[in-house]
Amino acid sequence: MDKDSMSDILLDVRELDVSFDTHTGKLHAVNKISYAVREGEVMGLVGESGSGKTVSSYSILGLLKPPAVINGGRVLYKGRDILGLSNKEAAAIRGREISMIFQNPMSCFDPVFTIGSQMTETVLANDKTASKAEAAARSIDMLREVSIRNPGQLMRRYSYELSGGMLQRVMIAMALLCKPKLLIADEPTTALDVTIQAAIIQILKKLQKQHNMAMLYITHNFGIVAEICDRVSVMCGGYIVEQGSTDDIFYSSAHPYTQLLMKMVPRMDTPLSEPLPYIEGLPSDPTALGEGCVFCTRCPYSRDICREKKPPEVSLAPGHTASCWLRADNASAESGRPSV
Amino acid sequence: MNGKVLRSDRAGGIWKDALRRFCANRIAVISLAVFLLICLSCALAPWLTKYSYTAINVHNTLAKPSAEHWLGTDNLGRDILTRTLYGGRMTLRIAFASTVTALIIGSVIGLAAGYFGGRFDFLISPVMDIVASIPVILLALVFEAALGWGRGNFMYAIAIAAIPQFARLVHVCAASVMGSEYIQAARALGVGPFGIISRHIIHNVAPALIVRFTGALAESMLTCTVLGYLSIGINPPTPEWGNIIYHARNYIRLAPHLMIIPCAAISLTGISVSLAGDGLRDALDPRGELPAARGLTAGFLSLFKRRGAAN
Amino acid sequence: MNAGDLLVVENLKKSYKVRDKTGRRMLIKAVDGVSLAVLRGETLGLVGESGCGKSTFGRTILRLTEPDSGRIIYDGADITRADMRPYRRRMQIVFQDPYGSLDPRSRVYNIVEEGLRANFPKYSADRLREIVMELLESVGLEASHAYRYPHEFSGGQQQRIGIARAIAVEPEFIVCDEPVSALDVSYQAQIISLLKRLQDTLSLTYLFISHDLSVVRYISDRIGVMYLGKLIELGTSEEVTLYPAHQYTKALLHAVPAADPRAGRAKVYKLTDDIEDLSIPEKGCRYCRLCEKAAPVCFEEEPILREVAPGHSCACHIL
Repeated sequence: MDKDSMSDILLDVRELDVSFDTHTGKLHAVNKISYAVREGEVMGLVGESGSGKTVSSYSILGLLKPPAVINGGRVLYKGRDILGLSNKEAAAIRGREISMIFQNPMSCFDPVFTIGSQMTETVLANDKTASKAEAAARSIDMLREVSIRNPGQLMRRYSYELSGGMLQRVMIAMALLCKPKLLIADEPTTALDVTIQAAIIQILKKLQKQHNMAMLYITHNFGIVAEICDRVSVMCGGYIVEQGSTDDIFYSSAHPYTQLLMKMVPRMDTPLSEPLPYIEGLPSDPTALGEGCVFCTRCPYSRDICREKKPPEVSLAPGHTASCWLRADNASAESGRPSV
Repeated sequence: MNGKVLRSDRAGGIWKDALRRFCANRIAVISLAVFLLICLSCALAPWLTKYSYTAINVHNTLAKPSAEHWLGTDNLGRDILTRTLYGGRMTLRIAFASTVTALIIGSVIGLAAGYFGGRFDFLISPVMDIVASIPVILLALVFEAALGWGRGNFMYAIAIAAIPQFARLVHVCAASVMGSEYIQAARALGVGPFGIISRHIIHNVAPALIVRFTGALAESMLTCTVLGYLSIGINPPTPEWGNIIYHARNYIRLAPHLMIIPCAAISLTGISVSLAGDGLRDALDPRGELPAARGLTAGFLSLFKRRGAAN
Repeated sequence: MNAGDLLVVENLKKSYKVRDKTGRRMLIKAVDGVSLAVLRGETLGLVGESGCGKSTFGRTILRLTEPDSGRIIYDGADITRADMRPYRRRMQIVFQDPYGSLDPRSRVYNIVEEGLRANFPKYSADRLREIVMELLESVGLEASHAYRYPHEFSGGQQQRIGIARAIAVEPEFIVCDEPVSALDVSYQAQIISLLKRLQDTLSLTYLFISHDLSVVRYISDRIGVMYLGKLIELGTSEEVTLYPAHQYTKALLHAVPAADPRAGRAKVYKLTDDIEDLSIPEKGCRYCRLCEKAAPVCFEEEPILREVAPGHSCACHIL
C-alpha cells in the first residue's frame, strides 16, 4: 500500500531509551529505537514478549511508572515533544489526539458503572461543550460503527456481562469517541478466538480508513500484520532490527529474525508434511545483554563479528532498513550510522 | 502480566524473597524489633525485676521515677516497672494463648468449608456469622457468670470472638486454591486429599494467615485490657495492664504517670505489632494478590483500578 | 468399537446450572451428546470457539468433571462411573493457562515430582530426583531450573513445566487443552514441536483442543469440529481443512489470517457473540441463525452426523 510520501509525519519516535531498575540489575527494555508513523498510516510493531514493544508504546502516552526510567530520546507528536509532559498536559492529549486500546478489555472498565455511563463520561471529559444527551448519542453512534447490533441496550449493560469480543469492540468504540488522530492498539486480539479476531481486524480496518486515523498496532502475529499494516518495525530484545513497508518485510525481508518469525506463523497453505519451524532457545535475558547483536545467540547465521559488535543499520531500499552484519557486507551502507 | 523474562540466578525461594523485602522495610523491622523487645521483657519479668509486684510499701507511695524505682511507685508503694512488666506478661500471655487457639480452631473450620465446599458452607455462614456478631464483652460476662468469676474464664470469650476471622480467611484462601487449575492437575495426577491439603493449600494459605495473626493478636490484647478495665478480666492484685489503668484513674491528677505508663505500653505494643503485620503483608504479598489479606480500603479501591484507560 | 481405539466416547452429555443476571436459572448444555473415538497413537484435534464445550469435553473424559450421561470407554474398560485411581496415571492433561496450572508457591522440582510420589511411592528419593532431572531435560529445561518458582519463567517455559509434570507418570493418553493459545507465536511453534517429539518417543495419544485451526492442523491426524456442544464435523486433517463440509468449518478456516499482504480476506463470517442470547434453539440446527446457506429444514430438524466421504462425516442438511 503506497502512502503519499508528502503526508505529514504524525508521530516521530527518536532514539527512545527506557530501562527498569530492578533488584537483579538494570533491565534495558527499549534501546534507542526510532520509528515514524504518518497520518493515516498503520505501523505494525512486531516482536516476541519482552521485546519492548509495549513499553515503548506506554512511554508515548506517559503511562510508564517507576521503576521504569526514560533515559533519553524524544517522542514528537505533530512536531511537539510529548515525552516530558506533565501528567496534566499528557492527559489533554490522551483520548483526544492519541488513544489506546489494550489486550485485556475487562481491566479497562469499571464493573460498578454501566458501559453507557463510562462512554458518556469519556465524551464529557474530553469535550467540555457537549451535553449529556449529545454524549449519549455519540456513544450510540460509535457502538453502531463497531457493528454492535443493539447499542441502546448495550449502554445499559455492565462490563462483566459481556464476552471478550464484545468488550473489545466497546473498548475500540470508546477509544474512537473523540476521533483521535492516532490509535495505539496493544495486542487487542491476542486473547480472543480466531474468528472474533478476524472480525475485530475487519472493524479496525474499516474505521481506520473511514476516519483516516493513524494506527500503531502492536502484535506478535505476522498474519495480522499482513492484513492491516502499511509499515512494519520488527523489535527484538529492545532493538528495532528491521523496518520497512509491509511488502518489503514480507517479500524481501532482510533480517534472520524477521524471516524466522514469519516462518513460524502456521499457515493453511503449507504442506502438512513440513514441520513447523521454530527458534531454538529463549529470548535473551534483558539484564545480561552482551556486546554483540541482540539476536546472535539464537541466529542460525551468526558469525564472530555478530557476537562482538552491534550491527549497523543498513538501508536496503528507500524506507527499508535492517540491522544485520550479513547485510552490512552486501548492501551499500548509506546510512552508515550504527543503530545503537 | 504474563511471560516475565526476569530470571535470577539465585535459586532463592519465595520465603527468602519475602524476607529480603521485609528487611528492606525499615519501619517494619523496627516495629518488629520493638514488639519482640516488649514481649521478651515481659516474659523475662521475674529476672529483670528485683521487687515483687505485690510488695506494698506505704511509706513510699506515688513516688516519682528515681534510681530506686525507675518508673516510680503507685498508690500502694509498689514498683511500677515491676507491675508493668508483670502486667504485660499477663496481658500478652492471654492474648497469645487466645489468638493461637482461635487460629487453630478457625483454620480447621475454614479448611473444612473451603476444601469440601457445598455442604460444609453452613459452617461459615451462618455459624461463623452468628459467632462474629456476638459482642465479646457480653460473651465474657456470660462465661464469667456461668463458670465462676475471677477464674480467668473470660479468656474463652476472647478466643471464641477471634475464631470467625480466621475461619473466613482460611475458607476464602482454601476455596480459591481449590478452584485453581493446579489442583485439577493434582487430581489428574492421582494425588489424594491429604496430599492436596498438606502440599498446596497450606503454603498458599500461610502468608495471609500470618498477617492476620498479627492483627488478631493486637485485637485480643486490647480486648483483654478492656475486660481488665471493666473488672471482668484479671482481678487485682495480679497486675494486668487493664486493671492497672482502672485503679490508676483515681490518681490521674496527682500522679498521671500511673495511668500514662500502662496506656503507653498498650499503645506501643499494639502499634508495633500492627506495623510489623503491615510490613509482613507487603513482604509476603507485594502485588496484593492474596485474597482477604488486604485492608478494607485497599480491597475496596482495587475494584476501581483502571489500567490506563484511554482518558 | 475397534481394537485400535484407545478411547471411545458415546453420547456424552454435561450441563451446568447457572443463574443469569436477572437471577433466572438457566441450563447451559456444555456438551450435548458427543460421540467419537480416538485411535491409539493418533492425535485427534478438537476445534471450536470459546464456549463450544471442547474444554468441558476434555475434562469430562478425564473425570475431572462428572458427566451427566453417556459412556466413556478407555482401553476397553467402562470408566464412566468407575474408580479412577488405576486410570489416573494413564490419562493426563496439559492446561491452557501456563501460569495458572502451576502452584505459585511450589518449586518446579516439587511440581514435577508430585505425580511421581503419588503413583510410584516405592521410588527412593535419589531415583525420584534422577527422573525429575531427566524429565526437565526432555522438555528443554535445565537442571538449574528445578529449584525455581513458576513466576521466574516465561509462558513458554511454564508450559514446558506443565508438560513435564504430565509425562512424569508415564501416561498413554494426554488431553492438551489449548496448550498454546496463551503463548506467543514463537513459543507456540516450540511447544507444538515438543509435543510432537514426545508423542514419537513416548508413544502417546493426544486429544488436542484448540480454537485455532491452523495450529491444530499441524499436529492432528484427524480433526473434529464442535459448535455449541455438538460435534458437527469429523474427518482427517486433510479432508477437513481442504474440503470442509460444514459452513461453520468454512468460517473457521477463513478466520485464520494469511501471512500474505496481497491475499485479501475472502470474506468474514458473522460473529457468534452478536447473538445476545447464546441459548440453543428449540429445534433445528444450532448454526442455522448464522448460516449463510440455511434452508427451511435447518430451522426445523437437527441434523445428525452422516458420512459424506470415506472417513469424513458432517452434520448438515445442505450438502
